[in-house]
Amino acid sequence: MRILIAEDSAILRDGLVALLQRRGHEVVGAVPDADALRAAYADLVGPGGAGAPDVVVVDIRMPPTFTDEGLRAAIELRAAHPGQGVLVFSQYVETQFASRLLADDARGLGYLLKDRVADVGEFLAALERIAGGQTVLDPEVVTQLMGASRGDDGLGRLTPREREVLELMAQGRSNGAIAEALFLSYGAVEKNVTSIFDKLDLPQDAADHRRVLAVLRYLRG
Amino acid sequence: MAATAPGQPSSTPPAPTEQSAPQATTPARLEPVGFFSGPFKRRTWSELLFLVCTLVTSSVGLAYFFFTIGAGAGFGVTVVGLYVGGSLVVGARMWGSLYRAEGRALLGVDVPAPVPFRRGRGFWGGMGRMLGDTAGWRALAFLFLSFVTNLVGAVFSLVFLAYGLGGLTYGIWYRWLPLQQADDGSWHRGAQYGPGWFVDTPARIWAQAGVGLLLLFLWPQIQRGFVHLTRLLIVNLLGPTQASLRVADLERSRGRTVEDADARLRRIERDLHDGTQARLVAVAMQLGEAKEQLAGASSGTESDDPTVADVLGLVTLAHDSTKEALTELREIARGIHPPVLDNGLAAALGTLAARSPVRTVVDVDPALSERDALAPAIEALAYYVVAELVTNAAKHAHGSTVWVLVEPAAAARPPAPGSTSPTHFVRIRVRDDGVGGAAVNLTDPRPGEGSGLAGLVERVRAVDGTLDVVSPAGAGTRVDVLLPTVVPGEK
Repeated sequence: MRILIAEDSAILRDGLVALLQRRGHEVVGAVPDADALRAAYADLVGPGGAGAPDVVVVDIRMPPTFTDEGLRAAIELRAAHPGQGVLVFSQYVETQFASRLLADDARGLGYLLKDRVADVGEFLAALERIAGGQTVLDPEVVTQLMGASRGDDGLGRLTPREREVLELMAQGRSNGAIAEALFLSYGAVEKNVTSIFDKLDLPQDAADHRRVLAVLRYLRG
Repeated sequence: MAATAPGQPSSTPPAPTEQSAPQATTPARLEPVGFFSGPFKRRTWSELLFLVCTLVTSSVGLAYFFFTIGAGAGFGVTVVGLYVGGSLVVGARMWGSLYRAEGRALLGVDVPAPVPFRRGRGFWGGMGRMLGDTAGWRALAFLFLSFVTNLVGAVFSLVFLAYGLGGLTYGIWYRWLPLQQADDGSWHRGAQYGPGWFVDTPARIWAQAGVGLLLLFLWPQIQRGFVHLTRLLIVNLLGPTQASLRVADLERSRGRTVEDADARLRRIERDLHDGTQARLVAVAMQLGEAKEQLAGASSGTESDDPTVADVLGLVTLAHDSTKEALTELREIARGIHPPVLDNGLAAALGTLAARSPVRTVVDVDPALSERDALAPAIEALAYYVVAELVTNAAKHAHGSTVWVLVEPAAAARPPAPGSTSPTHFVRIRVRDDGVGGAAVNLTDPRPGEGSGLAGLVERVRAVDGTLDVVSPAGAGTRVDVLLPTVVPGEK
């Protein structure tokens, strides 16, 4: 994969570059702030989107104001180049950031805690899923969102197993991944998913990233 | 005072800080008035002008003084009439302004105005405030005392001046005096200073001129003395009291402390994030890689190399510890200063609500989401207030929901006298439907335990905020916190 990294902490940036290169990926750029990111991206991408990296990895909190520069740059990038794989990560998960990021299209989008980088295999798998157009959400995000919509009757109607499946769906996992994670058969997962969609009155949708959006919209109320 | 050039302060005590509290002492930017240079100095004539003006103003001022006493007592028979007295007392401040202005223009005394009058609330509160207005009473005292000093000073000054000028120029105008007969029958034209003693010989005329000159030189000194009395009165009675100056100074210093503490916490959190947390993530990353490589190695080779498995075990432990450390550090940093607060109170409270163990509904007025609606220190304090109250509700209320409301508000009570309090506030209301019975235990604060709410009260009071708890047993709890939108004492 070709990966562009934007991260202000030099220690982390160098660590990521080394890690990715050791695994055989190509790091096409490693920049310390949002403006440099925009410049590097513009340099890489020719007309028609040729030469775009598979995934752009962006830290949310970067100079100069250390609030949400990275997030804004990521949203801009997606608006200009829909479908560009973007992984946004941060030390903190804030519901507001998730909402802004997933406002319209969740295809090829990810939001992870920096801590997830510590599990190297999972991190790389997440990158590949994003490059493939899927959605990846940190479990912390989902927990917060489910916490925010607590007291909703709909969620109360789900069985505990269905809640687990719902959480994993909201993280952007495919049915197969859910089956693996919960040690269920593929068929059982499908049945749970159908039941969830029925109980919560959600439109059935095969594509995983659209279903993430549907679930998230439901959770946000 | 006479040693320095005009206009330069010499004996003012040094200001405590660069934005010094106004000093209630006589600034010595008065022209030095020597004996021989007296009558020619501008200051002398300014003071004369002052005394002449006060011939009118002092009289009217004295009348006001007596009117206040009389009308106040008279109307005070009816309770409502006490308002008349009160208004007159407060109205005396206007005299204070007048004399301060005159002092500034003519006497070289620059005294700042006392703390402005703030209306009390309600019938008795309002009246009490007015009748008890220290600045007003001091102004009345000034009117009474300054009448004496001004009148006497004016008389002396004018007499000396008149006699001085008259004596000096006697030689010119004595010819127009009427003829008078002495006891011995001779006719004289001149001033008479005793039976038979007339000033009409050249020697005596020159003596008279000499006396006039002397008086003319004495005049500024005499005048200076009386005017200085008035100056002292102005400084001591028409300026802010030492107490109110100290209050303003303390408030400024407290405001600075609060803001410094907040800035320091933000810096710590930023350093943690940029330094420690980033480093830990890198360490975790490297440990994770090491784990995977070792796992690959140990599964590939035969088990004749148990050390690989041991090392894998150790590295796994280290990896897990590091991940836990990351989580803990994140929570600690959030406790020091939640970083999302930089995106606004609404965002921070939204996340707080989502993470709360009990269902929490947050409603933040959009007006407060503007960039500078709240000072940063106040915003942080508001966040902690809500965090603490929601935690308390989750732990003790045993209710179903917690409602959080944050909206702009007006002051609930008039601020302390002497303070420069802000006029805009923000109200934070946290309500739950639990068992109630909460109370703020300030009398016996045990450190650490049960001191959460008491500690909150102290932090709220440090910015002149208020905290009220309404918690009937069995009927839920409601806590209202009012915070100013800026830290008092800071601009």
